[in-house]
Amino acid sequence: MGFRISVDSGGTFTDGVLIDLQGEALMRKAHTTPRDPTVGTLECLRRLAEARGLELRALLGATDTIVIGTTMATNVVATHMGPRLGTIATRGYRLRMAFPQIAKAEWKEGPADGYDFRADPPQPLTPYHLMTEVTERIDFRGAVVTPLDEDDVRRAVGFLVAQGVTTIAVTLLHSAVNPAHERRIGELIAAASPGTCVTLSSTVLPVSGETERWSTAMFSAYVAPVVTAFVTRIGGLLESEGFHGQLLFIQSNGGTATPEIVRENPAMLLLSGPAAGPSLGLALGLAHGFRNVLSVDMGGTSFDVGVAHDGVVDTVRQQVIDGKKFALPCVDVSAIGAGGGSIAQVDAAGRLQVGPRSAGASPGPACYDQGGTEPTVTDASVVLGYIDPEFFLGGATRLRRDLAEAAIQERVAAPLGLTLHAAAAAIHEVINSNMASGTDVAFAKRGYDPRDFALCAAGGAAAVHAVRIMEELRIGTLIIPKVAPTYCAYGMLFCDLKHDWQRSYYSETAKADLARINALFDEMEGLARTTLTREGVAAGDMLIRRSLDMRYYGQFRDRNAPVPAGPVSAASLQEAVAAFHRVHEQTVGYADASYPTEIVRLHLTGRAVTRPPQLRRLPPGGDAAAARKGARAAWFQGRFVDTPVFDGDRLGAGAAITGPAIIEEAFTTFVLPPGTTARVDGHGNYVTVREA
Amino acid sequence: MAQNSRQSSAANIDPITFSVVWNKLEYLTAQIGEKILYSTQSFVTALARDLGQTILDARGKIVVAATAAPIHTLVAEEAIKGLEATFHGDYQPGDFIVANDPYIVRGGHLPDWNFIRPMFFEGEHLGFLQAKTHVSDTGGFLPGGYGAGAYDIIAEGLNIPPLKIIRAGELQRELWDLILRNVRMPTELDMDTRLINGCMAQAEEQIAALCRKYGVETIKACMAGIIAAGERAMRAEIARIPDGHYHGESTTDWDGHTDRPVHVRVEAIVAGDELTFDFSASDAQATFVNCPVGATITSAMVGLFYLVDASVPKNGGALNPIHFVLPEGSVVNPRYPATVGASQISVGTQIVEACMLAIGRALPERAMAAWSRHLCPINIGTQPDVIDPRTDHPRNYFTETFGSDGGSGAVKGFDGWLGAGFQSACANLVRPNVEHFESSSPYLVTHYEVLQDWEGAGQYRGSPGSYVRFVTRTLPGAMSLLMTGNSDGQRSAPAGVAGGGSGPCAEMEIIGTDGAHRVLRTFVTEPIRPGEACEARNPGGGGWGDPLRRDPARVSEDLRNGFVSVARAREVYGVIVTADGYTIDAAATARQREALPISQCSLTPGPVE
Repeated sequence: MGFRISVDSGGTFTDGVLIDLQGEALMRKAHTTPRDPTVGTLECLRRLAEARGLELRALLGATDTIVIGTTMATNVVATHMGPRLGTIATRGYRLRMAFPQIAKAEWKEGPADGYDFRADPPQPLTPYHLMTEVTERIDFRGAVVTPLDEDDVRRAVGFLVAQGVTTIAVTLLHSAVNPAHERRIGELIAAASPGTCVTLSSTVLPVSGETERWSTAMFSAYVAPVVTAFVTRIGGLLESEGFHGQLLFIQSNGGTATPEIVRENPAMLLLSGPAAGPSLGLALGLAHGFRNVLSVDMGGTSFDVGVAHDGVVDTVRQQVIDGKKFALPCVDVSAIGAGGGSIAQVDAAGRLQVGPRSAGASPGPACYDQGGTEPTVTDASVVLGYIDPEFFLGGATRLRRDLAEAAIQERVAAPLGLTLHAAAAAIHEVINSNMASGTDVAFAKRGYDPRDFALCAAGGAAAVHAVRIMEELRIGTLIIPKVAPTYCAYGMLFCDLKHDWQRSYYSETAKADLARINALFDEMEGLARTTLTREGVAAGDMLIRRSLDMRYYGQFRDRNAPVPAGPVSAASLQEAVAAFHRVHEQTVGYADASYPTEIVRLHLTGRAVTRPPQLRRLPPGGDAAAARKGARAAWFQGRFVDTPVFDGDRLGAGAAITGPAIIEEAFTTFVLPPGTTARVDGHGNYVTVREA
Repeated sequence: MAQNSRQSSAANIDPITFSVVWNKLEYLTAQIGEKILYSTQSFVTALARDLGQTILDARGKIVVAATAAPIHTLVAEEAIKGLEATFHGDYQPGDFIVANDPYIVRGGHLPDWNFIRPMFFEGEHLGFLQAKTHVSDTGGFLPGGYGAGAYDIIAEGLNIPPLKIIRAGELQRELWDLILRNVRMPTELDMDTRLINGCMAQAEEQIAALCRKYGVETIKACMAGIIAAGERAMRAEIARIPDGHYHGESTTDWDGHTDRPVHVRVEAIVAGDELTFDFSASDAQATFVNCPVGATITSAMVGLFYLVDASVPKNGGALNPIHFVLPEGSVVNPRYPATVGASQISVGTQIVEACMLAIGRALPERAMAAWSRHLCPINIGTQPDVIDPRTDHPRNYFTETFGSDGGSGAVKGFDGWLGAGFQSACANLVRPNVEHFESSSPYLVTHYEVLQDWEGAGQYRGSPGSYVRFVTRTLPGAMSLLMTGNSDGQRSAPAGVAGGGSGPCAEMEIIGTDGAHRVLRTFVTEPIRPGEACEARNPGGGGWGDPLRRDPARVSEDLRNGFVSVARAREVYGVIVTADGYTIDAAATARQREALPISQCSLTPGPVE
């Protein structure tokens, strides 16, 4: 007994990590099978079993915990491949969700230029004609203005069912204040059409503000069937293969949940994919004495930035996905359009642009020889000697340097009047700066100073760029995890069971009704404790965190301020107010402690402390020279330098290498510019400290 | 392209640093805006993104402008001219300047304030950070700055010439108190002003870091290079427009005082890579609807930017090849003390439309149809039962409802966007949640809907129109006004292009408790009493191309969604459907399209190509 396994099912690959009681870790990859993701998941588990020398049944029988993360729900939304969804809204609001929810400037997938309308606007998850309305109305205090017309509801349900709708989202005005009409509609649908899935906006997000609540409910309804089916099916399959341990899923909030809880709130898997990375970054940072960790994950198309501050992974309360609002807590991962596949081009104004357009996996970079002719960041890495074309993915794929050179020469060097190598260096310079600027924005909007952070850089492409990003951000310490290529899968083993609740509560802070606030917090805490108890957590292992969304009276947007543990008192409220002023000062350079504030929402997070796996300690091996496998010319500071190349797998704990150097592992390449030193820590991670 | 870029390297900047610095300055500009939007107490700025930020060089040329409300960005150079006339280069680190005087900083109406922070590096004046935004109040006889009926600009509100309200980091308390004493929401304005300064100070520090890293001379050279790149790109675009004179015009409902429409007429004269917008034929200055010079120039550029290639940098360089003939004393260049309350909407929108339609005649493939006008009664009043903790007085409110969601005009290949708002806001105007609106103002919004048959027809149609109805729940005796100084379009419709149809005209009404309807005109302020309802119907945008060439599948979808009726599908689009109301009868459709005259656009009101 004692294995822990995580499986991260991404867009292309499914990564699996297995750790035994001794901390010995194995990683395997399989192809993701979008049609039925359970196939790829089981194949990945089979490969882990094989690598361990076991039958799948024997492996699963000896496994305590399996954690699963999946981009399945994300893909359902991105490809609009969800169920036939209908909506029932308050009369007069049938097409409310057809009107814009966000400014065009906030629509990341839309045209970049503000004046460009040569595109269709964001599309709702359901065709307009499947949006219906019923007679009813509740006002903002929760009073019924117009009673619910139940015949109207039966008519709407009859129409939707006749149209082939299988899932209905019920979205009524002010249902967060008074959910009675939504609940009654839920009952009427169940009676009229028992097979139809129903999502009530007041259940998914009991918070005022109809566009956020309705949009989130529509997302939830849209992903529910596929998520529920997957969770149920994978559970059954694993059990039939002999697994009797705990099955967990990674939620968008970076915490885990059991299948039973996921089935109750399937929308929490919407951004499951990248949510686990920052937890591993934090764990590695903590091991080196850092409570503030910037976690970056650079893959083929995007550069995902997550932040852990003071020992806690940051979450946001709202994201824009596919031009629509999703307002459940998510790990705050900002994706910047920068990756190995990002395309370099010189625009009409003579500016070298790198990304956000990406060559993706197909055709991929020019050097992949799959028909791509546009130069990418990976092509530049090959031309500059950072990536060995003969040792890409551990030698599994050969790259064509000549194609990379031709692409850069034609598309960048010639138009800019640069030499080939200067052009390749320029591509790196621009992408590094874009990644740093994007990260800077992520910092600035929270009022953090990068200099207080350690940088944890993971993903296949990150280690080539990491030292430059560290310099650009003025960060002191860089950690490249040994497990960089399977960062998220690995990170899942470091995630706790975690659930969030929120309630609308509006009051000027000075007039806050402490009894009411505590009643709402108590209600949420009750839900948190019940949920965690159902998930097998002992009372002593539960952590409860409360916070308030606050703003200055008159502001339209709020900032989150923690409240100290225990019942809220006048004194603890003052602490929250002080924290609010502090955050305000940091983010916009101004605060006024005498200005009246107000509370708009209450949040509660319930977490279980899980014991992270113990990792195997690497035997000491201070002599790096033994791991040297050769040398090649690599571009540093404007010229090619003869650069030693090391085999990362042969480096022992304590080994130190000073650049110029390149450290190669099967799925990642760490580029050390001249003057920087990387040290191998006790677990095989690389740590670089920048001289101040 | 290749030739252009070599010029940039010839300017002695290495192209790598050039690209990096350019990106960074864009990031910083965007960041200032995001921070302000997230923190402001101004209703219009917070929810409608009524804000524009720029970085300018020491000569006052725009280096980068944020993707925001363009009416606030491209006007920045005019403001610096006004600043220079006042200060003659006398700036110190830590200065922070406010201004709004339309006859000095030449921006828009009075509530649009300029916030300017001269930017320094180690004592050297590098340029300016500027944000222009609609503040919560600017005094005058009505909140909001849109009050029609003002005698002159003095009645419209506080006129502020460029004032250093912070001098070298020191708040000028007496000066500032004088201003705050003359606005309705002094605490809001005070905090917003100071946090804008805070955001800019943070950005200035980041630009200083850039100077330390690359050297201040390099940064200055990059700024010059970015401006030069904007000029080259714009010249290349103009060179693609066939030489000639192109006429464009647009009309606002009336002038707010005398019952006559006000016309904006422009001749766009293209010669090589230069373009002149000649407004000589526009009407003489009117009451209420005049547009100050800076706002005129900006509005014209907005119209142009909709049609030229999206990659043209929106900076001072792009302004260089464009020339303006703006007769003094006209609606596009009024004389002091003419009122300018509606300027961004009327005649700012008309200027955008006239210029866009003029260039659209030269480039029909790039042409964009006009958008629906701003139509948005503003709710003004007091809530005696709510005490504002900032002032300990009953709450005064000033909010907009939802009438303005009409939408955008079509372009070739794409229908207009539903709910995109009015043209100058570039679809960045987002309506607040009804739930929030109802909890902060005494109104019940009973309808927020799409209107059937209110689109400008076309091969690509304009956005559908929208309908909003709300009921007043004010306490008896409490003041409650509807002010429509920001609204337009009851007598002039959004034009179609390239053979596309116009939308219909807008409608606004108040429905009394006895059921009697009374028209709510644009440019008025009217009381609305408890229990009364207000209805606003806004058309969608104009269409592009002949509606008889619209793909029947698109018409079918419009039918199914309820955007067009079966009758309109038949008469305007020539599409016949079966009994279910949306399945195309292909043979009957072909016959109908044969039978109809070439274009049925004349079925809809408004000018037609």
